[in-house]
Amino acid sequence: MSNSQDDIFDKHFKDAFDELRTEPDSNVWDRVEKQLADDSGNQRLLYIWHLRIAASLLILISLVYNIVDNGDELIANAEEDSINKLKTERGITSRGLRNVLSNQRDHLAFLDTDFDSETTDELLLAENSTLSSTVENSTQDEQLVLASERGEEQVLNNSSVYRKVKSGEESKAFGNTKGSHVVATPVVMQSEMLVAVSAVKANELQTEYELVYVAEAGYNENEVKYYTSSGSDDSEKWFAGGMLSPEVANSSLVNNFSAVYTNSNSDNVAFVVNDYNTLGTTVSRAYSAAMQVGYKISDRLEFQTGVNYSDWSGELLAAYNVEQQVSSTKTTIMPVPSRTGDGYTTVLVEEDVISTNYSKDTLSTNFNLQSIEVPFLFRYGFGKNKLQYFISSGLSTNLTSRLVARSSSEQYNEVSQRTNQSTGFEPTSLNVLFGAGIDYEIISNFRIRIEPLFRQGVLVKEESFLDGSYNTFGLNTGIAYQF
Amino acid sequence: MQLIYKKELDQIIQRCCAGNSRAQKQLYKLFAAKMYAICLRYMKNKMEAEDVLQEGFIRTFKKIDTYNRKGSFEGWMKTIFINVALRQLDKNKKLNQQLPIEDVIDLTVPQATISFENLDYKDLIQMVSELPDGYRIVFIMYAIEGFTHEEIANHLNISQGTSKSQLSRARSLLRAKIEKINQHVESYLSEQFAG
Repeated sequence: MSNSQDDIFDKHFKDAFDELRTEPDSNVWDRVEKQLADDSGNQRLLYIWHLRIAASLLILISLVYNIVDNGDELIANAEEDSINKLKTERGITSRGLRNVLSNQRDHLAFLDTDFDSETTDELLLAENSTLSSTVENSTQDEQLVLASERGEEQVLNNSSVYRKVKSGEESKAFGNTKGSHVVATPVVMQSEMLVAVSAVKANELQTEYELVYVAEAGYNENEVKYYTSSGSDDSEKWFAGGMLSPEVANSSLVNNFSAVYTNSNSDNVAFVVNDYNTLGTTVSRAYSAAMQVGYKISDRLEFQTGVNYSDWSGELLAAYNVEQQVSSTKTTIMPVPSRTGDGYTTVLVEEDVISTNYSKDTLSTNFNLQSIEVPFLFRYGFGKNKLQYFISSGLSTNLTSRLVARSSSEQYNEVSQRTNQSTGFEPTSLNVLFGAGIDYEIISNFRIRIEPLFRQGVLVKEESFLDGSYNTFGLNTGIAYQF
Repeated sequence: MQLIYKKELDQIIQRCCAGNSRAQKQLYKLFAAKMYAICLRYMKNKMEAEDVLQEGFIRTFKKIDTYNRKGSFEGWMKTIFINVALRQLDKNKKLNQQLPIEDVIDLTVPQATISFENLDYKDLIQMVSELPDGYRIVFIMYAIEGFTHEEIANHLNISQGTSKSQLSRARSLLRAKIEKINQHVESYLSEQFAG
């Protein structure tokens, strides 16, 4: 077979391979970057990779801990159920009631200061007299007494005393405490005495629940009723705090810097941009700072909002195809017949000339982008009281952004410009947030929080500086105070 | 495909020489697709090709200061990637595989009967990828990359005669595969018309 036939045969295959267009997986660059960082000891790249690895480990530990911790919780819940059942079956004796009250008397916040009881009996009598005088002047208390006369249950939450009417509606009656407290409310009804105690965070179980004891007159232990409910803890529901987060950001900036050429300072030089191509945007430094407020919706779920300030710095490179139009005046000396008719004289003729140079240029733009953002996050927590793990997710929107950029040409010294743009106050982008982290109570009511947070942003307003979409990965670290 | 000017490429290369990570990423973006296509020719699956792509770029960045700026930079990179791929194949002991001669001896199909009409480019790439590695590499280096038998012999550490015979066997296998497909298509069409 001749070589030319083989060549034709081979060419079919060469054309086929030339037609093949495919992109490698996006993580190949990450691997290259990490290996380069490992090999060269590049501190910034190593830092980014350590951040990523730390976040991954944190999430993994959280998940493992949750699985292990769930087992403990199940045992604790089973023990609690068992104890409650036992208490309910046996009822509570007046002695038991006395014990509860005397053990918790340090927390009896609403009792008068002149009250000095050593025993439950004294407590009840003293409180009885206090309440009797209050009832005479209080409509709410009268309602409470009337409700009691009708045989309705008096249910007390931890932070206040409530009257529970038949429809199940609750209204605040009197009394107010904070934290892990017991509230005792004796109510005199003719010959009967009603005692109600509300306890939160029963100390032996370290869990939150509410006990309501109702004793009838004479402390007849057989007639004492005992209720439990999962009453909510109104205290420590709110928190406020601040976070600081170093970030790794990936984004591309809109290449709208063609104006740099037209705004160049030279009077006799004009530029026309025929074409450009963005080579890439690199964010070299990014961080965010946040002020947060949150509210505990339930034991495990909390809602968080606040204000988040982000600051990015980086470089945008773009290749331009530019016409440089240089204006000049061409002066020509021309001979003209003299007026006297004897021979010639000369005149100067000036002519505007534009010469055009076609060049390929690279415009380098160093930018600083600042944004203010409002997040709306839900956080689901698990774990012990002091140390909690959580996962979080939510949305945020950029309220306003400001860009300061300085562009300079590598080809033309005279082309350089500083730009200062702002979006004004209106939402420009929507961000989806995902995070996971730990929350630790360092001292009473102060909690430290570490939260690796991923943010994927999608632009909703075309005029924004950013192009298309962007994402960040940050390590939020901060402190929160629980009210 | 990204537009790149010689001057900008020179600047990127210069910054890569200084270890600038942004420039390295730009260079990667510019050449990743092209080099990946080369890696895919030599390696049989995407995972292996991506490993070669990664190693190729690491070597490129480490050796970029040895690029003499006279020849084509793309050609220089291509050589690195081919070398990495060949070394990887050599590690996997895939280079010197040969089929027993009886497997290919009857597969020679006369040139006149070969038609590419029923095949698109994906079929042809698939056929090459199905060749035994020893034949495939020589065929790719000769027919696709344009190496001479002498160069192939040097790269693969084999004799020129072996290179030629591997190429010949590769072509024979490919012709047989094409012929088989053509026959299948023709019989299908004749059934359709008969029906």
